[in-house]
Amino acid sequence: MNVPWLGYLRALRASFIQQWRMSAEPLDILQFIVSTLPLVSLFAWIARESESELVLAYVTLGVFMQAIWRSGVFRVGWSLTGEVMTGTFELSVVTQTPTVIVMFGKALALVAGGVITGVASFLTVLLITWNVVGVHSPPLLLASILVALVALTAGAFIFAPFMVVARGRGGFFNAFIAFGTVFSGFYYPLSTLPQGLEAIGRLLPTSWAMSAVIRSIDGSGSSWTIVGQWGIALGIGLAWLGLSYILFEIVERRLRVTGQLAAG
Amino acid sequence: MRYLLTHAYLNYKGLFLWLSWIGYLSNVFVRPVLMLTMFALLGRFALDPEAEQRYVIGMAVYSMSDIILGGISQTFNWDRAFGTLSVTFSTNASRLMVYANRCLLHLPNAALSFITCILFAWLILDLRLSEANWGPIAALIAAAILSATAFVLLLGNAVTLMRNWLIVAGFGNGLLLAMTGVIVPIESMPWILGDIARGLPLTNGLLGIRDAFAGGSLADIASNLGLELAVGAAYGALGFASFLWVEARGRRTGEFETASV
Repeated sequence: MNVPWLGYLRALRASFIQQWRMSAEPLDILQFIVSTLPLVSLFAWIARESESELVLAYVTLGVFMQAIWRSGVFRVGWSLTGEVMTGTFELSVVTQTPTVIVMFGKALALVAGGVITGVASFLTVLLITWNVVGVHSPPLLLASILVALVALTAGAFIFAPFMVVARGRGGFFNAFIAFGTVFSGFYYPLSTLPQGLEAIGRLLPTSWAMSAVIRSIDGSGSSWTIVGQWGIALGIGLAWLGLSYILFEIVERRLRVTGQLAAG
Repeated sequence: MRYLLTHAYLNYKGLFLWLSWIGYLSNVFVRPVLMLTMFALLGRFALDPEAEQRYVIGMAVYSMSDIILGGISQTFNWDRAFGTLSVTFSTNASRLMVYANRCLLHLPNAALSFITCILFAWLILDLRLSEANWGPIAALIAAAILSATAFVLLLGNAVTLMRNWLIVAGFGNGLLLAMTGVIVPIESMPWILGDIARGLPLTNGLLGIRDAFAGGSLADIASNLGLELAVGAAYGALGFASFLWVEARGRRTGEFETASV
């Protein structure tokens, strides 16, 4: 009996392992440390200057979330650039496995790698501020972080079809990283955004997830409010994953039928 | 001059992979504005409106070095990776011209990033411009662009040696963001870090630019302008000497001809 989903799961696992091994190169890790820690240090300095528990909560969890976001978006883009350069990108496309499965496995591996960088960033903030933020509800915080990981995966993955079309070239994913950070409210409440721009943030699953994380820490809002925000984050995240699937279908049809990619 | 312009154009067109319309818009305009917004809003939320204003100006200046670093360091990387470095080393043109032509067309990008950031901040983030003295600001921006470019050209030699531009660019970006007073005032830096900061590009220029935005005259910022140019000249000399050393090593050993990405 032909069960394609078993094959897809194997392909997902294989692309996860392949990407994980590639990302575990010492130079790769060094590059991320060198580019991430100065930024994290600045956030920690600002948190220390503010002398506010709420700011510290935002910065402490914000650096963790941003590291995962950055890993998911930047490394997907950069891994594609590497594949194009080494000539293995077309092999990924001609395989019978849908491109979306291959890319999702890569994205999962990169998000998992981002968690490690996120923990390093979190510890850096603790070291600089020398202050541990009090948590109102640890179980809700843990669950909120898990929801945030799903939201981050969905949020980062939506950009992957565009990167496939552009073959990861051009470095345009740099803007996606900054976009997600600004509009997800990793470092401040979304209400801080100028009028009109807050609505953009509300379309991101990561903004709802981050709000739930902060509420779990500072105890603002009831448990049901937090659960509601989980639901919204997961709902928007699933919608984004669905949209990613549709976009990949369009991109893949274009690649397989025309043999052309948008970027020359 | 014709050689300089021709090779500057070829370097820019062939080795600057952000030159597609989407890559260019993202890196020259969108990303600097978003980075500036992130720090401005954090300053507004965590501290006070004065901090927000400081961070806006700091990030607008930093955006110049960011795009210069991204553009020029990848030029060095792709020159080696695409196999054209041997052509660069073998030409009998003036070595200074060979070294300097890599940066020429990246300079306007830095100015564009700064102008975009300031315009955005004025329109959306309520940046105060009523007291700004534009003459000194323009002079300091030009000096900051030149000194940042000299610094990045020095780092470019490290890119050739290390065969990895992301690490060098990440190091350079982190150093300039954290150590030049963009966010953390150099007076607040511990130990001798403040003195080290004075020897980096952007630091002295940024001090003068903030003064000029607050109404400082050319006389008020003259020392900052002079220091910024002096720092740039020092990095220019060091970078050129490093380039000659790397080039001699490349010619002698052929070690940069390996086809790695």
